[in-house]
Formats: sequence, structure tokens, C-alpha cells
Amino acid sequence: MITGKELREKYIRNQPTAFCPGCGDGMVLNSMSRAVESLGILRKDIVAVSGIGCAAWVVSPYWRVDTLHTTHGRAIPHAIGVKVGNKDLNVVVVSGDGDCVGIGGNHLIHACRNNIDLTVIMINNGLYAMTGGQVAPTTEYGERTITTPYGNPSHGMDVTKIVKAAGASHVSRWTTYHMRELTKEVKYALRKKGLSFIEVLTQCPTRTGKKDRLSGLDMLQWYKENTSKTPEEGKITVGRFVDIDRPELADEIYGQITASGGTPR
Amino acid sequence: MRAPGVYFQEGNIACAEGAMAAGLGLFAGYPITPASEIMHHLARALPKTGGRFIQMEDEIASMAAITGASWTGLKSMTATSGPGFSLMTENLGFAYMTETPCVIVNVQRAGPSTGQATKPGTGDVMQARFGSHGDYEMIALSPNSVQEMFDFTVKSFNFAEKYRTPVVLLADAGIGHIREKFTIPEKIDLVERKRPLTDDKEFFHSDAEDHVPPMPAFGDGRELLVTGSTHRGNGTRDTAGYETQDRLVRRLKAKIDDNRNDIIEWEEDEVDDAELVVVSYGSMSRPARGAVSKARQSGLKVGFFRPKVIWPSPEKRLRDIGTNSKILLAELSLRGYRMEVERCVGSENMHVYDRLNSLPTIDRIYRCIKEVMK
Amino acid sequence: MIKVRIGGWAGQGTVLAGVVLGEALAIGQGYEVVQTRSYSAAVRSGISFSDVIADRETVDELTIDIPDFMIIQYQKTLDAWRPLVKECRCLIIDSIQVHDIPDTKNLIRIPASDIAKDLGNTKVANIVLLGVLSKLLPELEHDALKEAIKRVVPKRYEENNIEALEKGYEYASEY
Ligand SMILES: Cc1ncc(C[n+]2csc(CCOP(=O)(O)OP(=O)(O)O)c2C)c(N)n1
Ligand code: SF4
Ligand SMILES: [Mg+2]
Repeated sequence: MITGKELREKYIRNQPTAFCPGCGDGMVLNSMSRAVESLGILRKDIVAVSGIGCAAWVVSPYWRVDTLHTTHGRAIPHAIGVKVGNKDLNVVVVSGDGDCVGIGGNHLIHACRNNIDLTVIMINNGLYAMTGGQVAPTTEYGERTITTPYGNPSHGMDVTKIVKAAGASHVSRWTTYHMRELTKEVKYALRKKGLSFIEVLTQCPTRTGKKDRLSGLDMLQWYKENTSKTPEEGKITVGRFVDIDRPELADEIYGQITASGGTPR
Repeated sequence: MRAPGVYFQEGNIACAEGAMAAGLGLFAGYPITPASEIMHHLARALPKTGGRFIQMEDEIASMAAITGASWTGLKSMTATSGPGFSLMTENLGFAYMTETPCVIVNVQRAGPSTGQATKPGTGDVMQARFGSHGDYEMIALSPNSVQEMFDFTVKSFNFAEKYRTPVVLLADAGIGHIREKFTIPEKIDLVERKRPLTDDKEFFHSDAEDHVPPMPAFGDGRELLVTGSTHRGNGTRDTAGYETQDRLVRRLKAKIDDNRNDIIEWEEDEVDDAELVVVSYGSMSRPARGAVSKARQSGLKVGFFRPKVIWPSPEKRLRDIGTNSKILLAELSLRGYRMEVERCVGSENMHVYDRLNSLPTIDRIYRCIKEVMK
Repeated sequence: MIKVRIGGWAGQGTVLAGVVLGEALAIGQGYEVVQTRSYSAAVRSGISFSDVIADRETVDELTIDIPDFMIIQYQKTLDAWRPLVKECRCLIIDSIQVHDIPDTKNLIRIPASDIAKDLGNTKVANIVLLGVLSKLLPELEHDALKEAIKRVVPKRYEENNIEALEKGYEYASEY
């Protein structure tokens, strides 16, 4: 077994990271690295793509693989270009909730519809952390943020339901409290053909925590107490919600090239 | 992909053929008049050549996909018109900043906004140059025949690969939608991107004379950091430092500026002794050239000047011409190239024939020439 | 310079006729040719047309103000260009589709749609009209048109189209 120190040295650049103390983003990074390590996938065969936000920093600059750090909300379509460009690469997208379903929501839906072979990890901290804690599409009704000082007049949405409806072949949700399960899920996602979507409820002590005076640890405790692996009234369900097989876009495109008499360049 | 030979085809088809001749590896696009024939043709023909075709959910995604694909080592392209080009400008800036070679075809139509989808216009000339934010330089080519739709598409790929930068093929519906003869030559000169040597570590800085760093591909095992944030030569981000920003943004600009003489290209005819020089580009330059011939036949001292590469502009030559002759700019928009030509030749010297919606006849421009020379 | 305008209604193959004519002149006869097609919101409501401009030298004229020949397949198309009727050299009209015909001398009426129907394919009326043109326009070679049809029209319609071309030519010869 690789030690924590060895893992960090092998997979993470620019240490220490610039995440705030107690931030959950580093935990997701850790989990992704462990998954790759235990699958034995070579780092050179992974391309990690991100947009803009704290979550995006998980891959760029920190993850030590080929990285493409794109514009806000556009990680997924860039990743599609990479995957269709070279389908031998394992393409991982890490995206904040704002990035993934706010500005980038349309791309997410269509990537699920295409069922392109990407692993999309959505780090959900319930708001726009990097820009100062504004309301996001995931912020609950009534929550106060810097742009909803009187309470969120809108509603948060369950992204796992959207990606399920859109056709992703693998959908799940975990939290940073569930590190072991998360790592297993990332491993599964990396091997699963088609679009894998993992939502990770992740603590942001700096933005979410501040208003409620919660530390990172308090928030992990909260995840522990308020989640359940089986549906339960008043709790957030975690686990794997979808696991199906459907034709995948890159395979289809390559298949059509071959069928038309071409050889992929 | 067609064999070498002579064909009677539409400009948009010639463009698609040019892209395949250049070695197109991935096309991503979204339908829009008057550019869709490019994607229709490629959807069928590209897979047979081993290239990937994909229709995306919008033009933002199309531009993103071709950028991602370019980093897998493929030549990539998208094609659109004004409304789609507006959406692309965000990621066009990203491609520029990350030095990603790719080709963006804009078959311009009459704008602004939805405007007139099937009608030609050249109101996007400034947008092609300045549409994205921040300081940047752009290479944009302006074809005026079906043959040039083919040739300039190849040329766009060559510039993109040579200078590791996005290139805009700034066509217009007047050329995209006409049919003419064009030749696919036996031999086509292609440029391929500079690949790094084993020991190379800097893929985002170059001290070479052309300022172009070598470009690896994803999967090469180089732990690439490709970011639209300001970055150092090795790709690491520097979100606040003066030196890094200054060095990067100036080099990217110099890459186009200092290679200007290799990039710019124009056509001119009897300019030196002309009292009036007609400047025109794109589809409008056809009747404009016809009008100049007619004027000369009737004894008027008129010359003709047409930038083939519209950005960077043939600034110096325009300035020279402007000192000796009056200028008549003929264009299919009100603001297309006007500010640039005016900047070079001065407003006292300049006359404009601007027209919207459709091309004029040769005679219409001829009358304008006579008017200006009176 | 040769300037031909073909006008009809969406679905009548007006643009295809333009392509065949352009192909014949450009590839078959070595002319420089520009062929344009109307293609606008108006097309959806109906009128469709195609212009062919050909010359021995570079063609820089991309629009026709006054055509030499106008081939008209539809009433509304004719109505749209009524001002040009007297000015063009010759007007070739599908008399089955167009009824309100102006009173001019430079005009040929061809029951092209009926001829096409007799050939078992109403869609080839456009080619019947091209056959007429090939008789009237001395620069246009009948064989070049035939070859162009072979290159442009899908194989299974080739024979039908060539028959249509011949019929049009014959009709014009007897006119
Ligand atoms: C087009 C564009 N609009 C706005 C921004 C500013 N911006 C940067 S990060 C961000 C929010 C990111 O939120 P999220 O994706 O949830 O990531 P987090 O920081 O919460 O991890 C915004 C709005 C931007 N970079 N680009
Ligand atoms: S602001 Fe929040 S999400 Fe961003 S680094 Fe700090 S704790 Fe993490
Ligand atoms: Mg967030």
C-alpha cells in the first residue's frame, strides 16, 4: 500500500495547496489519486479538465496528470473534444456546482445525453465559493448567501436527477465524510464506459461555514448525521443511483469512421 | 474527399474540401445559415478520411471541443456565422491564450443579431479582430472566390499550425453560397506544428525568433498544464505577477506582429500611378475589381487593392497607397474594415461605398468611381 | 457574357437546373461561370431562383441586373420580375404553370410540365426548359448539358433527365 506521503508526492503538484484550512476540495483530490493508484492507470493516460472556481483548482494546478484548465462552465465540451480526439485517454472533469450546472448546465445535460465516456466529479459546496459565496443553483430555498441576504427566493436542485433523466450511464452521490466510498466510486467511474457523474457534497468552511460558524470538521459531522444510504425522510440520500449500459459517443464516432472505410487519424 | 481535379462547386463545399485536404482530424459545429453546408459535407465525407465529426449543443461547445481536440494532436475546425461567432469568442480567447492551433470559419451574414440569415455582410471584421476580451492578435483571411475558399482554408490550417494560434477564415455568404470552378491540386503544401524534443520543458514560452514554442499532445507523458490563466513557460499559473503577464501577453502579440511579413498578403493592380485606388475584400471585391477594369478601359486612372489576409492588416502598404492616391473603400457593411483603412490612409483621403444586404453590379460601383473622381 | 436566370417555385428543381447549366458551361465548355441561388425566407414562402453568369474571362459580376434569358416555371416568379420581361432577350415559359403571360415578342411558351408528365416524371420540367435553352443559346452545347446531367443528377434519374432535355430541344426546334 502506498503511504499518504508517497501518494501526495506522486499525484499532487505545488504543495501545500492553496485551499483554505478545512476545505473539502483537497479530500476529493486525495480520493481521485487513490482511485487511480489502485487501478494502476498510468498518469500519462489521464487528462483532467476543469473550468473555473475553487473546485477547478483540484485538477489545475494540483493533479499531476495532463490538465486542461478551461473557461467557466466549459470544461465538459473541452473534455468532449479531448475524448473524441483520442479515445484511449481517460478523461476526468472536476467542476464546481456553479461551473457544472449553473453556467455549464446545458453542456452537462448534453454530455449525459451523448453518454460520452467521461468521469465528471461535481464538487458541490452549495454556492459560488471562489467569487465570495454567492447563491448557486444548488443553494437550498431560504438559505442566506451574500447575494441572497434575505434568504434564497429560488430553489436548489438535485443534479443527480437531471443527469439521470438526461441519460448518464452512471450516477452517484457521496460526501467528503464518505471517503472510502468515494474512492471506490471514482474507481468504478473510471472503468465504467459512458458518462459517470459523481456529486460530492464538499465542505467550504470559508463561505458556507462562516455564516453558520461551522468548521470543516463540524460540516463533516453534519454530513454524517444528515445523510443516509437508504432513502430517509429529512436526510440526503447517498449512494449509486444509476448504473446502466448504453452506447457511448466516442465509440460510436470511431465505429462510424471504421464502417465508412476510414481509419481514425 | 475529392480527388485532385477541377470541380464546379459552392464555396462552402470547397472550404470543407480544403479542410480535409489540410488533414482535418476533428470538426465540431452547430448548424447556422449560411455556413451549414460545410458541416453537411463534412458529416458525410470526413469519417471516410479518418476524421471525427461531431455536432455540438451550441457554438460555445463547438469552439471548446475543437480546442480540446487540438491538444490530442489533431487539426480541428468549426464553422459558423455571426450569431455563432459571437458565442465562440469566449473560447476563442482561451485558444489564443493557450496557443491552441485551430480554424474557425465565419461565413458572415447580414447582422446585427439575427439580421438576414441568407444575405451576405461583412460586419464581423472588427469582431474577428477584437471580439474576445483582453489584448490579443488574430490572423483572419478573406477569400473572394470558390477557389480561395479551398486555398485559404488550407492556408488557415498552415498558419494555425505554424504559429500555434487560432485562425479565422472570414468568408461571407456572397462566396460561401456561389458556385464556381475550383481546382484541387495534385500537391498541397502542409505545415505541421512544431513538436517538442525529449528534453524540452517549456511549451508556453520560446526564445526562438518566431516566438513559437513546441506543442506536445495529451498522452505524451509530459504532465501538461494548459491554462487560460496567465502562465509561465512551463505552464504553471501566475495569477498576479507583473513579469509573467508582461512576458506572456507581449510574446503572444509578437508572435503575430513580428511574423507579419510572412502572414500578410494582398492583391493589387495598377496602384502606382492611380489617382484613385479601390480597396475591397471578400465577395464585394469581385464587382469592385470588375468596376476598376471598366473604369480603366474608359481611361480613368484607377487602381485596385484587396487584402487577402485581413488581419493583421496590410497597414504599411495601405499607408503608402493613401499618400499618393485617393481611396474608395467598397464593402458590404457600414463599419466592417472602415476604421482600419481610415486609420491607415486618413479620413480626408477616403471615400466609401458601403452597401447592405446584397452585392451591387459592376456598373453600380463604376458609377461610384466616376462620382468620386469628378 | 452569358446571363441566364431560372426562376420557379420551391421543389421545381430551379436550382438544380442552374447547377446543370453551370456545370455544362464551366466543366464541359471551359467557361468561367458563377452560379448563384436565391435562398431566403422567401424561399420558404415559395420563390426560388438561380442565376448563371458565364464568360470566357474571369467573371467578377456576381449579380444579374438584366438577364439575357429568363426561364420561368411559376406565375409568382414571373410577377416578381415583370419589369425585366421586356428588357431580356428571351423569355422561356412553362405555359402549364404560368397563365398570365405578358404580351411581348421575345417569348417562348413551352408546356414543359405536360411534356415532363408524359415522360412519367413531373420533376423534369426544369430540364425540358434547359433543352429549349440549348436550342436558343448558340454558345451552349447540347452535349455538354448531357454530360453535366450525368455528373450532377443521381444515376437512377439520369435517363429520364436526358430524355427531358431531348424533348425540350426538339420542341424548340419545331417552335
Ligand atoms: C464567464 C465567467 N463568469 C464569471 C466568472 C467568475 N467566477 C469565477 S469562479 C465562479 C464561481 C465558481 O463557483 P463553483 O463552480 O461552484 O466553484 P467553487 O468556487 O464553489 O468551488 C465565478 C462566477 C468567470 N470566471 N467567468
Ligand atoms: S473558499 Fe471554500 S471552496 Fe474555496 S478553497 Fe476556501 S474553503 Fe475551499
Ligand atoms: Mg461551488
